[in-house]
Amino acid sequence: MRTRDENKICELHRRTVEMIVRDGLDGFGVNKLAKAAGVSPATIYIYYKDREDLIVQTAIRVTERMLKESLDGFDPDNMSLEEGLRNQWQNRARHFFNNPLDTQFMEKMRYSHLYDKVSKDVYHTFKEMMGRFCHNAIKRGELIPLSTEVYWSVAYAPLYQLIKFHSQDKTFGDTKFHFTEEAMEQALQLVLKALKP
Amino acid sequence: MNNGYIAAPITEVLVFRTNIRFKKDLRQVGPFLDKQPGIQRWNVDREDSDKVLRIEARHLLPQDIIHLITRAGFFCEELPE
Repeated sequence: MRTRDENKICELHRRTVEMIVRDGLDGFGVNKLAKAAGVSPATIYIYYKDREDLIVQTAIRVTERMLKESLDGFDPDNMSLEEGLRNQWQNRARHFFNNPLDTQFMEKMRYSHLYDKVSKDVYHTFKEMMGRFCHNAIKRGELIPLSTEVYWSVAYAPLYQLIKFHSQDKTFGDTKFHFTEEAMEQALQLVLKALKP
Repeated sequence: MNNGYIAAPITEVLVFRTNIRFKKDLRQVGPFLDKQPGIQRWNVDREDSDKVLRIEARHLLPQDIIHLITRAGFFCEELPE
């Protein structure tokens, strides 16, 4: 009897992320993965229905881990806007710097037709908690009521832009930007100023 | 007393390399696979270069499937473990 081997599944997911980041979604195949992971294609088909199922399952696992790390220490009911946002910025920055491949992989997934199958269920808890956090902050008079899109663009886009600058070889001109706690805190303070009534 | 325990036979996953490439090919082999007792689920990964036919079945041998697919006019060989 073939049993489900969690270590093997982890290894397959890790390799899948690696290969899709390197070769793109179109360049990814079960055969190539099998060779890279040192298993037979038959083994991969024991765990996954097909190529698409494998990619979707991998993306779900990556997303779940990202969301779990992002909610680390986050308390939507008892944190002020400043505390909550700082927690989110720190968690998200940490996740990015610890898992750069995962982030690049999800970037590629986001522009694929498979993404809908990934995002369908996994964001449920996360969205609920973020919504509650905002709702509480508005009630306490710490946050201007805004549409989700405008709120997100102001609250998080600056963080992602700083991370992007850090990952690029150059920002403006020839110099390389290094992401620091100070730069993050400075941007966060400006964001808080913008969001407060 | 019946404790509700039934010794269910274990479902096995069988995988084959084929040349089932198009939807019309699926329409050709589909009825054979649907009719075959023992097959619980099947699908063809047409996006994969090996056009892998994956079957979840009970009490079936790879040879039975190869025979069935070959008779339907397609190439079929078992993928090695």
